[in-house]
Amino acid sequence: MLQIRGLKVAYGHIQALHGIDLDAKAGEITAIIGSNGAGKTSTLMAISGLAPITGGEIKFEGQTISAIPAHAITRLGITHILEGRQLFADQSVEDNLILGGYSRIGKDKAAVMAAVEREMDRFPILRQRRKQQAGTLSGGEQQMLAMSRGLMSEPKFLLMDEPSMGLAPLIVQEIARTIRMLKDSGRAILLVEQMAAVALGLADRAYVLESGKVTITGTGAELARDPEVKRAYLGG
Amino acid sequence: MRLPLLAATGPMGWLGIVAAALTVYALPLVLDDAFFILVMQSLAYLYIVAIGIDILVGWTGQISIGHAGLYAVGAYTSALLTTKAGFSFWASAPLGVVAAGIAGGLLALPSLRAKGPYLAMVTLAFGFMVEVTANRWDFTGGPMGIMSIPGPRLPSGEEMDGTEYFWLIGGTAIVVQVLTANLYRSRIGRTLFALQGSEVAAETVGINVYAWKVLAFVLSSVCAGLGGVFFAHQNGFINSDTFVFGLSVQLLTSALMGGSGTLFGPLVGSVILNLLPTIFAHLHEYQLYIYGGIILVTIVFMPRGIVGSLLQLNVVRGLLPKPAAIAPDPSVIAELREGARPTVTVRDLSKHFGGIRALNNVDISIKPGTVHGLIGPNGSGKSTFVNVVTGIYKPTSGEVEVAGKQVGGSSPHGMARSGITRTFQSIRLFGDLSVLNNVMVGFHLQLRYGFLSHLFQTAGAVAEEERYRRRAMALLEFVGIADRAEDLAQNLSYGEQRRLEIARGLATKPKLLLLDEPAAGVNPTELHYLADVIGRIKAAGVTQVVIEHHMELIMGISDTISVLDFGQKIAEGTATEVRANPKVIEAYLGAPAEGETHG
Amino acid sequence: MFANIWQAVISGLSIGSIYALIAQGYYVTYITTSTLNFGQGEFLMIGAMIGLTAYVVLGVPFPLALLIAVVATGLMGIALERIAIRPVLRHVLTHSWVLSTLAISIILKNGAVSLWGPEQIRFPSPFGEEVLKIGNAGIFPQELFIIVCALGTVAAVQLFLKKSILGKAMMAVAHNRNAAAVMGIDVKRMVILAFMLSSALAGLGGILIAPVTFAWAYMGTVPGIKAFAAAIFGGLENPVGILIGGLLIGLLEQLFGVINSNLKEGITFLFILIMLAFRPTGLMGRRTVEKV
Repeated sequence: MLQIRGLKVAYGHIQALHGIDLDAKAGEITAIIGSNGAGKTSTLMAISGLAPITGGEIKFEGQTISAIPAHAITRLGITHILEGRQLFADQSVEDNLILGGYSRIGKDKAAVMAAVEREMDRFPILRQRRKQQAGTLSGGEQQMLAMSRGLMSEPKFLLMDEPSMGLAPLIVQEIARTIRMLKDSGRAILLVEQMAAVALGLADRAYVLESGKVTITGTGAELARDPEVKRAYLGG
Repeated sequence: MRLPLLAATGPMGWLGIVAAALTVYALPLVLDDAFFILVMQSLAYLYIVAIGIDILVGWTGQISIGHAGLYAVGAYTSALLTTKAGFSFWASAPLGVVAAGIAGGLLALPSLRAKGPYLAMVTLAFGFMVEVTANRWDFTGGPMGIMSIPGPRLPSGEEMDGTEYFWLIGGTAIVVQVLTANLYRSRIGRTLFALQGSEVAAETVGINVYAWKVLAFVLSSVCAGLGGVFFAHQNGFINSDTFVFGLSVQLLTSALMGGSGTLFGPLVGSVILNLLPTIFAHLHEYQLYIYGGIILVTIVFMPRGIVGSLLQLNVVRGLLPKPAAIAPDPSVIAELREGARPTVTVRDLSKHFGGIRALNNVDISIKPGTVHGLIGPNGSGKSTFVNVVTGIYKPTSGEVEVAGKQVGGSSPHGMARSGITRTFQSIRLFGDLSVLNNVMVGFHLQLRYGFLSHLFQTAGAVAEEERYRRRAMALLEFVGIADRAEDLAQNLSYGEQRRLEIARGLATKPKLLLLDEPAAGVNPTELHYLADVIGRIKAAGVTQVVIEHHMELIMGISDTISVLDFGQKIAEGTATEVRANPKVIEAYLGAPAEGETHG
Repeated sequence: MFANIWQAVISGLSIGSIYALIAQGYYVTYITTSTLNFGQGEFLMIGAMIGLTAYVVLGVPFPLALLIAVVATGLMGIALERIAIRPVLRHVLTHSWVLSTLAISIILKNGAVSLWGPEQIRFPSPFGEEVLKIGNAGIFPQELFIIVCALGTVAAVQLFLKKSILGKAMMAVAHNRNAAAVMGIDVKRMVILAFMLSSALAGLGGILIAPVTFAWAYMGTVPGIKAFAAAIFGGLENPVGILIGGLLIGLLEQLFGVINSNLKEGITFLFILIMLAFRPTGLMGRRTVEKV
């Protein structure tokens, strides 16, 4: 579904990615794990058109998308759920969801409104908070809203950046359940996580990034057993 | 034998001064035309004002669209003193300058915390206040203004003629330029440029940012007042029509267009803007088109101004004299060990943002001379910890103690005085300063010579600068970037910038140096270098706290590691202990997903 | 005396609502780009002059003249964004936009002098010059029209931003550019829209105010700056604060005008200086904590 070859990203003097290769298959969860600053977020941002690509190629369903601007990428069926939620904090929960469907609201407003209801069924707490400003939600609720907002555009392919960040373990479990359900509904997911155990438990295939390079790849189960992964995190 | 005033002046500088003096002398003699001389007078005093704007805008990074007000204060003070109190020009002129300086100091007060458009508003409001006051107040003559303002008299008692007055203004302009150049090259200019680069970073090396901003405002106002004085006595008549918003814009433009922060930008900008109306006098109807068009084109295509853009060209840079090599003075390294090496204790520290407990009752004791690692997942409170300990945030509760003395809760520059400084996760260097000067700013609290010494380049001040340049060089050598000393900090690679931040921090002679994610964005080769530098700092006896995500690095260098999660300390110990601690593993790797166990 | 005060209140509200209207324009561009058009006053002037040409010279009905003025200034806003904002946004100097927009305003002033001459031109009010007596105070119907029209527009802009999908998308860009982009919102277009809206608001202000003042090339500078003061007073990111700021400044200068005409011009600026000394981001502005 998605092929990355030799991807390089640099912000001015800072080279974030030194040429990585990665494949994500339809219907699978692909995980990218690694410690902070390894280049996980840059990879996702390059795919969604937010990071400056300085080399290499990204193909989605056979089409090269490296040069397409961010707002147009969304229309291809890729949605990026950003690190740290990045909600529109002053706007209501409902407005956040509607904006998630922005790319198709011109064509079919009813479908977007139906999707709002569907997402509120998915996370009933969002219905209770419907008119509340997104910034007033708790961390876990914000993550749910961020995921729902991302699903509003009916993506075929989801990029998820650190959905567990700053969340209590119980909520992380719930988020993980939702990710599994999304996979079961046929979506491909590229998951970036610092919490390796969570990610590897979910992933069909996983990549370990270190300092802008892929150092280990394998199935989720393989990597979960690999002591090298722990080393990548805690050294030793 | 060298004159103190011109201590830093090389042969090129002397040549320049002589050439400028000759030009000022010859211009009215060669082009002996009353109108032309008048234009040249205006050019010279507006140039002085533009220099002042450059100090405020180009050096310090503030903005002013109300300088006409300060210019007016100088003009009216001198005009009123001569016409109403019978002062001579020679007595009223300095008072006009002082009055403008005081007005600038007052203007600084609402400007200190205001930024961007808010600061623009403060200056603009000030400019309007002055204009309206001048226009409406009987004392300032209202719209009729003040008439028959006497010009300066020669010792013979005769009033100066146009040529002599031009010599006076032109000569003053040369003096102002020389003094400004002295400041530019000295500690004073460096500190003001540091404010522009990063106010936060300037604070963390001990600079009282507010006080220095006031200085920039006062200096700028003094120049504006001086220009205003010359204006008032030029035609013998002033009224409020001169001191309008448009003048403020023109003055700002001449500094920015010429190239702000470049020393000669104001001259170039003033010449262009003041001669244009004369050159295009016959195109009277299109004058504003030309003026607006020139501003727009220079701003869009030469964002650094004319001189600034020229300096970007390698050809031009090749022509500039090469700075002499500086012999490093390694005693600075040895002195890092001097004095008491206290234990730094953080007791029961909490920081809440609204309902969020970013830091919750954290106790950490940092032993002297050790490297203390601080790790934790994203959002665990590490950055908040650094910000509270370095005074950038006020703690909600708890204490920071250096050698048993409470220092918590003071400003960052106060913390720097207590011996705590830091580097930044997102690098904060003074980008427009050279690498060497970035380190020099770090010596701020140790330098003894102040404003006047530097303004007049006294032997003591010059020697002190020289001494510290050698020490700065030794610090650059210590972190391995001595070869880049004369480059602009913004042109360094990421890893080099990180090391420069460390060198700047060391320059403050810290009792505790906090490194906030020094490895972020650094490539593997540089990483080894970084570990090596941290090791050498430890060997030099400086206590360090290192916040890091890069585990290999932190596990390798730390004597003790504290682990934060959700704002609380969950573990502490050696690398091996921490790595084996199940709480830490869970915080980092997470508990396995629930689904895994079921299926 | 009482009649004077009552009259000053109405005049203050009417001029204040113009300030509030223009200041809304500062608000929409500031939240989306952190820049604003320092030549907003000249867009006001152009709105008045185009309105004058359409209404007085060409004899177009007033509502249509108003529409023409608003659309024309709106289109000029697109040009402004392209010429003076977009090229300087990534500049090393963060203040470039101040001068680039001021440069446009200087050019526009010259343009207006070339086209319409430097004289003050009377703009007849579509509601006549007859003074309405309310109590013992005399009020021009145009002043009432200004209040209704300007405040109505301010409300409409806020409704647009809060309720319409396009407005919500614009606010989304203001809150978080990256998040907006991954929702499929074209950030560039939203920025253009913001400048279009901002300029159109100024143009509307011009055609509203011209019958009370005069129409001429230099009419815009002072209202543009007073509106800037209003926006700063309220806090550039707070539309309610801006509305209050506009009305308050209008009232303040008219009321002080009753006491002493010399105080009228200076009071706004004295007021704003004092306020900023205590609240450097405006009355209701967010206090920013620099993230390090």
